[in-house]
Amino acid sequence: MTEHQNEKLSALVDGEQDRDTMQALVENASHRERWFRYQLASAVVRGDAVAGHRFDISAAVAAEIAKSPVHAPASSSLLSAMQRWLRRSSWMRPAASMAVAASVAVVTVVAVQQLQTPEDVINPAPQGRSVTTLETMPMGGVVNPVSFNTVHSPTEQQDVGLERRLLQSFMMDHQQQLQLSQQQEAEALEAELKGSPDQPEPGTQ
Amino acid sequence: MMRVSKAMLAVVVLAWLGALPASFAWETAGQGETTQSGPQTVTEQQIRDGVAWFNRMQQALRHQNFNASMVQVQGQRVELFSWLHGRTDEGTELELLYSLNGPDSYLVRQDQQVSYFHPMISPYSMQSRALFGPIPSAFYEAYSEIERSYSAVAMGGGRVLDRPAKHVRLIPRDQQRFSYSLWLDRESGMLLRMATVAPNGDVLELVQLTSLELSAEVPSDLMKMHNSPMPPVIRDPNVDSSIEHEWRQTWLPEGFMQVRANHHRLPMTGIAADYFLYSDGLTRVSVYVSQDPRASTSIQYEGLESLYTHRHRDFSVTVVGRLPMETLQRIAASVAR
Repeated sequence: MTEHQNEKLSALVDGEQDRDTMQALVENASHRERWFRYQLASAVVRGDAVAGHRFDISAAVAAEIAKSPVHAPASSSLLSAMQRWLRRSSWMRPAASMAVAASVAVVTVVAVQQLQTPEDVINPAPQGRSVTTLETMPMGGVVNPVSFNTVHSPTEQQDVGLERRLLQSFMMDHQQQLQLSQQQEAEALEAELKGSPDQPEPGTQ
Repeated sequence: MMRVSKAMLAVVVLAWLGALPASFAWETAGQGETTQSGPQTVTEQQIRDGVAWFNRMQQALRHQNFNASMVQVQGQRVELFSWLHGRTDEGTELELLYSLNGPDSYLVRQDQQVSYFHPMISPYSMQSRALFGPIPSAFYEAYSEIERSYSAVAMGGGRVLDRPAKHVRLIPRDQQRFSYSLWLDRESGMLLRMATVAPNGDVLELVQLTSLELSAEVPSDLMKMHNSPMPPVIRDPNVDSSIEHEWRQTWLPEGFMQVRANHHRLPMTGIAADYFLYSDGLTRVSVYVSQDPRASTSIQYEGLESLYTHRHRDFSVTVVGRLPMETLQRIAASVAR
């Protein structure tokens, strides 16, 4: 399937309501669906369907909308919860300057699951490749299952632990650096707006 | 300055049309039509409109008073948020994002101070022009910030959240990064729906409002929150630590610029690395260069946010970001002494 057809298909998935495009795509879309079903079926047989295959994302949204109240949730509870937060004074203690560090538990691996099905044993992937699924938990965000491919022998269980820690370590740090860079930029912009920053950047003179 | 940039716009637009890969003329390319520019080719007008709509959205995100709920879908995972925004008579911007699923976390913004509350962490504040949430911070800034990497193209319309909506695509200059589909409220310019799309057409993330109340007044809950004491602003722990070695990044997708560099230790593992952060105006990618043997384990992780480790002869490079795996691999391989 070519790139531009995929582009059109994603427009369809996204619900863009362009009749001509839709009609022109019906045939290709049916191809794609057939292909997708096939992929999914084989994934289920292999046992890795949970490892990140995207089911119909629109259906997931529709289901969530059906569940959620028509209006934004009554936010009096929200506010009281917020005020409870503010009344807790733990943060009034001197701020942890180590900051975001452990605090923003942005990415927390909550589960690791080895997917080693009989079929994999019968028909092993090259180089003893096995699929591990893990879930990450961004702060206030989505818990995201993904397929995690590493090259290792299925018997080296301790490696999974190391890789998981490594992955978590990098992912968490990445999120922290992103947040810190937002602060860095906001400060830089503020300094720029003030005209002459008190402390010029080293090397700019 | 402003006049120059406006005059330049048309030129830039034309240059970009020439630079767009063939696949972007997707509506006609399939039929092999090369000469006829039908109504479905990307026109200069579409780009002009796309830019105008993007900036309208930016204005709405900064100025509109609203009380909304929002769903975020990544893969099979679904998160739900309450999202409020307003601007007081004095011009202070107030924003609140509150997660409705799982641990109750709050992100509160008052102008350029954002406070984060989460049951598992000690609350803290940061200086930032946008919340660190599902909406990219670039959407809160003018189109000119992302112009070097993406063109905004006005597409068709549709109905989203029972409202007439305009579809605008943010199309990257190359196939090295994701594209974005935005549906904007025709009446207010508000962002109603956003999809992150991989080069192969897969939708990696969908964010959609499930309710929206626009109002003339700042939502009262935001006003009550206004001027509440907030946790202290944290200090950047890496601000004084400069990189230890001179590494050369021999390749990056066009438009990426370095926005941060330091030397620090990673949480959990304590691995020491020289660190570089690059931004294309919308998405960001982290590059870690480490000589710690533990960092040389080859791991690869593919999702909306992906990770790839490349082992060089006596150092390892790990790249993390919202970019296609092929791009991460190429970036990781392009670091040299």
